Amino acid sequence: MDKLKDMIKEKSSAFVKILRALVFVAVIFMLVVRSYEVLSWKDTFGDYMSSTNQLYSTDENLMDVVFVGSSHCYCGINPAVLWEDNGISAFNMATSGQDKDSSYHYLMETLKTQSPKVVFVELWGLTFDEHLIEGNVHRNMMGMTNSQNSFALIDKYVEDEEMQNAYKMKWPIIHTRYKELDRFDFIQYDFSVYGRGADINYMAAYAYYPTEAVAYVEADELSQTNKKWVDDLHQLSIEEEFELVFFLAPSILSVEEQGQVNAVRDYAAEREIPFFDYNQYIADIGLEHYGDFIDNYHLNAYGAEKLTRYIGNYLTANYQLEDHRGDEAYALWDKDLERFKQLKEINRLKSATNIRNYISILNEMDNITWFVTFEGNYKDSDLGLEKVAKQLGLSDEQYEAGGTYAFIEGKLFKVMDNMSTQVYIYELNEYDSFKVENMALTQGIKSNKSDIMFNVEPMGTVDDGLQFVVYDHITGQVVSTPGYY
Amino acid sequence: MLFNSLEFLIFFPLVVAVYFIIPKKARYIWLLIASYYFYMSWNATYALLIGISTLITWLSGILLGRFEEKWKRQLTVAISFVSNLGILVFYKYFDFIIENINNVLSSFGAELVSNPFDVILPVGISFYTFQALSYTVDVYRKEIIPEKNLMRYALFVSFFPQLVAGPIERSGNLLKQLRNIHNINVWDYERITKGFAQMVWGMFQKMVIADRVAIFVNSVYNNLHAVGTVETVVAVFAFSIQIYCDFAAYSTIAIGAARVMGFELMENFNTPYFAVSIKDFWRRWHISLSSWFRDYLYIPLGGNRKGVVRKYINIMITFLVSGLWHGASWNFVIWGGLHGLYQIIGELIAPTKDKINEICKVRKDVFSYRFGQIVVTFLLTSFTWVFFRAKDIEQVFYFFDRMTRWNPWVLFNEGLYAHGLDRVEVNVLMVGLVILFLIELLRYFKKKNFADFLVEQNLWFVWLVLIFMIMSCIIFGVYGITFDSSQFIYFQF
Repeated sequence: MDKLKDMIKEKSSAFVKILRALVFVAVIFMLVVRSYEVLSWKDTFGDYMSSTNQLYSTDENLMDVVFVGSSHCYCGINPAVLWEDNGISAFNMATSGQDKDSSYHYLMETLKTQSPKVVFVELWGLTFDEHLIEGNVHRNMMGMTNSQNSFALIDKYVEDEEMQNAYKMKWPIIHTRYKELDRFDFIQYDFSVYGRGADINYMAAYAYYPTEAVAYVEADELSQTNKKWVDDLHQLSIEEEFELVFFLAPSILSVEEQGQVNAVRDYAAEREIPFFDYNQYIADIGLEHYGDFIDNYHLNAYGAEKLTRYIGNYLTANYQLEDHRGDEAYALWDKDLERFKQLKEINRLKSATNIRNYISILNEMDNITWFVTFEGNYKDSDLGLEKVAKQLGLSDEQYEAGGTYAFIEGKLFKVMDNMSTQVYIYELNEYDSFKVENMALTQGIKSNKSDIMFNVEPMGTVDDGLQFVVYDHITGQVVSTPGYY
Repeated sequence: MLFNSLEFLIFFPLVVAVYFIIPKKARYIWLLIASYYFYMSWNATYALLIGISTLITWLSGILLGRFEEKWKRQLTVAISFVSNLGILVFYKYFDFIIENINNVLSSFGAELVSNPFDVILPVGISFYTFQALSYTVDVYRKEIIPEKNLMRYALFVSFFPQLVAGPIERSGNLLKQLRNIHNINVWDYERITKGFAQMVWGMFQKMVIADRVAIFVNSVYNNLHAVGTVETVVAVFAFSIQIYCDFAAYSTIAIGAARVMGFELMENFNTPYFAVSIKDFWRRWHISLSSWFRDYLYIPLGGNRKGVVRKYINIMITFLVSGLWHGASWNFVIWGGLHGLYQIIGELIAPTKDKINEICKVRKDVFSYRFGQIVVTFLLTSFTWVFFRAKDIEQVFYFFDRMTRWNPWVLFNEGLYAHGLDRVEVNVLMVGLVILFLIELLRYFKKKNFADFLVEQNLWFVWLVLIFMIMSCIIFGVYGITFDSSQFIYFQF
């Protein structure tokens, strides 16, 4: 009996030990999985706006037109314009520095869930065989989730076996991201904040884009790798039944690069594949040297709007693409348009030429929260702030009393007097908040200047005059902090 | 195959799993296969060298077991030593010898000798050669009976956990355990946990501390033209930490891995930076090597039995050879020589030091005295590490030259962060160093190693510590494609 008891005791003890070891392994496993989610690569074209994540968050068979390419593509094409004008559901499957192998496999990835009728493939990837920037290799090799397709890209592009394994496992690379972790690494943002793959950038610089003379560069012999790439894409278009279009976004090219592009032009012509070197259509599109470019290689949002509209005309003239506006399934495109319009308004606000103009735009905008404070000796300002106060909807008494006003959820109201030691806090969401406080007065220094803080960061610099702080709920950022005095 | 590699992460559990379930009689054969696979994953051809070394020392053991005549026994030992050391010299020191011959020849304007061979240093050759030679001597001294089973003996020489960077085991310990392999209770939960904990701690030391410090040290040594007093001084101490964590990590992982399988390897480090003298340091640092030199070189030379002068000569010979064992370069010879000199000077000035202490009424039984001894010993050893780390003597001089460029401002203008470790990295490193310090204190005062202490604790604490260390290695470990897989430093010996 005792023997049996001992045996049972021994067995149960062994069972507990095995169970303990298994639970330990399970805990480690769960921690690794959670860490992977946090550390995972979230940036396929910079600024943490992941186009592959946008792709994965889109329901099946919604995209009618897909653009594939590099930053030239995501800066130059804005799907929101096609949606607004024509109801075309377009998507920009672009990554920074997208090489030709990546273009092919990102398109393959898109075709897993989408059946586009037209696919525009951008040709900048033809101009090089290897990335010069390591970050671009990471972006292109790690953007997709692991699959046969993503492994095929890695095997094709990366020669070193150790590197191949690192890209496939991802962990050997991404674990070093602990140094750059930010809020979005821990919180899954709503995918609507990412748009449909376009980078809306209103920065403008003078661009020496190529003259039409470059077009007369003689076509080189198409390199073997480029020829195979074109053939593979052509074959894919036949198999997957989409119309393949090659294009070059307006950008400066060397004579050698233009030679390769022209070689594709001739090769594509033989196979009746539409080809557009948009450098040749700059006048038709209406692009300006100054105003429509970020630099010599990229269009800005103004330029992108013009080019996309131009392409929209081509699409409507040549293809029977359904107008999907109003269809609930396409809510992400509605969101994208809403975001684009908001960015446009923000840009308009930032470009306001004077205070009256600024307030007019502010009054027209939605989805914003703003604060305005009458600081110091604001009454001495030459700007006639009394009239400005009226434009804001404030009475003479309110103007005389000064203080800080907030525009929240469509209502303007006073949150603090100028010489008050009170503190006003407004929580925008779980993590962001505004605080209004006369910090000098709180510390015993006489002052009628209020401080508006976004989280812990003081906004604005005006001592005597009017200070605005504008927060946009769509982008989740403080977008404008002008001071007038 | 590195311990901190994916290959080992797969290899080790697989080897252990099979080892646990196969028949007892087949265990040593399985471990031999695993050990050769482990070594051959570096360079398959060089496994032949271990094979040759094994065969020679095994045969010498068999012959020593048969011969009774002294001359025959001595001849057997001589053949074993000459052939093994011959291989070692050829693969490790041939270039060095040719280079020095040419230096002499060039000073006389004579024609230089060209090196007809282009050999790569076989990994761990110094370790397994010394282990195999110790067996020959042990059999010669009749401290152990010769091993008749060639495969079992081959496993003793090539046992994978300690094959390439020690501890250099003695036949009296490891070979005896291998002979008793069938009696090992493989399913000993506590022993396995202790071994596992030791491996985790070793990985932490290597991946989180040593390789992180290495980034700073390498940057300073690679940019000596742009550094001054602060960076060089910090680099001196940083390298002291790096080499300790690197080497101790390997030993800890090796001991842990062996323990998981039921073998107890000898301790190789025992809080060396808490040593109160250089002599004490060598009782705590690379114990398996220093005791090897003591038993097989210093004592046979006469040790301290033949007068003071001979003792000092013996100390110098032992340390110069020890320096050369570490590498075929004058840097290492000087490094060894300095340690020898430290010991001799320490003994010579001891009476004077005692007198001064007496006159100044310095109390020796207090913490401050011991602490002072520890600090001085640490400073002396740290100084010698410069010779160890520098690529040649020229660099050593340049390093000390840069040390005279007084630049305290880098402490305040964040100049120290320019050497590969930004604030986040430094914070991670600091946490690692605090943990290292606590574990060293534990060892020093409680005389317990980390694993033994940990496994005694309550389950929540054991889990918390192990999970923290494992996750730290996975996330904060220095590895991956941006990391130039810095191998364990002692592999090159």
